[in-house]
Amino acid sequence: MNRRRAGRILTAVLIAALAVPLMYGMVQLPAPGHADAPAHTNVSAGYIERGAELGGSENLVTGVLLNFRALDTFGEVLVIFTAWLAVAAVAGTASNAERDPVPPSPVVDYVIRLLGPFIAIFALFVIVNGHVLPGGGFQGGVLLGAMLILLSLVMDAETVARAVSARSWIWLRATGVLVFAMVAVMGLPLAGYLFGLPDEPGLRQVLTVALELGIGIGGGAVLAGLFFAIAGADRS
Amino acid sequence: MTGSVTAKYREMRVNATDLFDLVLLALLLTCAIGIARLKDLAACAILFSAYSFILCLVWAHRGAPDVAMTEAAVGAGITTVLFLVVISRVGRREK
Amino acid sequence: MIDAAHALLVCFLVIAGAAFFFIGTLGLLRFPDFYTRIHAVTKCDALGAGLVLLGLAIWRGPDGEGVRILALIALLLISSPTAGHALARAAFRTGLKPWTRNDGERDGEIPGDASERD
Repeated sequence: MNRRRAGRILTAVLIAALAVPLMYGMVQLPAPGHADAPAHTNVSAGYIERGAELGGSENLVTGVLLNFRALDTFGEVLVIFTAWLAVAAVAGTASNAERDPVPPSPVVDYVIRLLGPFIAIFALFVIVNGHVLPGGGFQGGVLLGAMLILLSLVMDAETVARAVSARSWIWLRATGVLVFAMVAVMGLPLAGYLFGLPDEPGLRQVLTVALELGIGIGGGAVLAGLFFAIAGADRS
Repeated sequence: MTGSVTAKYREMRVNATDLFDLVLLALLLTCAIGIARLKDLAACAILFSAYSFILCLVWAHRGAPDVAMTEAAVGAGITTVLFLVVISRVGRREK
Repeated sequence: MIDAAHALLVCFLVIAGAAFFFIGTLGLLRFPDFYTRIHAVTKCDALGAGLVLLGLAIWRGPDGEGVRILALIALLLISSPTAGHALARAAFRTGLKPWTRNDGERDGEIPGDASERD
């Protein structure tokens, strides 16, 4: 009882000790959205002024993700691939899920089959136009993965998981990491440093779209793989 | 010191746009508290999905369509699906 | 004159959509069990959001964005009733019994509760 009380007092003191400097710092911050704030006058201004030209894509976010902060993005791609590896290592070997006794509703079945191609086209659109419009590899990849998961709801997960052989699934899931690593190494001869994109606009465009496609296909396959592994359909 | 701070905040106009954001942020807070307090994991997953959609609106409204798209697709879509699959495997009550 | 009629039409559609949302939410809060609630909410999704979007599409006129909003309405009209159907079917298949007048004020039981099944 006494110990618990001491613990609570200690917690309160620690929180106060943390809160006071934070609040002091908050008060010193420039008002949100203020145009004269240092964040908007130095780095951001530079990106907005010359980012599109230097980064090679009209959509500044894509330029930052794939060019200026390419190492960071490569880390993210690696993380989701590793997440699938971990889940597959734990859940992938678990024996088959019991078959769902309830057949899918004919209405749901029809609608998903009707919408599936449209979702796939939209996903590809988002991926390939990532350098011009909002969106890109990650977003499009998630849409692709969502389409595979939707299909597996009505078509029986086994059929979808076996649409591609187990070995090809692994390669598909590694696409993002492999393509990104390849482009990163190509940066050495083309731009002079790792993760660099060449200055020649056409080539840079091609590499940007290749990166987006790799991230998209890899991401989609990883997310669908996570679903299959947890739902117990993946035997690879 | 304090005088300059209040002056700084006074020049921020509270207009309809900010009000919209404030309403969204209040909703976000409600969702977050609900997620922390509920014992039913499936309900938590659905509430988390709602949270992501509201956050997606905040991003879109603040002029970050890229982040908004990611939030809608990842946060509200795939994460919820994965949560629900896991919950269907491990049971929906918090132990 | 045309402008005024245009604005009036848009206002009417958006307000009608908002009214559907209001009624749907009222139903969600007031109806006794899952089936009646989902009955109310699917109307609000399909018609409420559909009317608001139609108003926005008319407001934009026949440019790229207006057409995109129309496509969005088509998607909404396909997907929203399907989602409602799937939810109701899942609830029925897991043994949730519909509310009857005899149940009085009692809410529906938790889905999948085997002891309550026939």
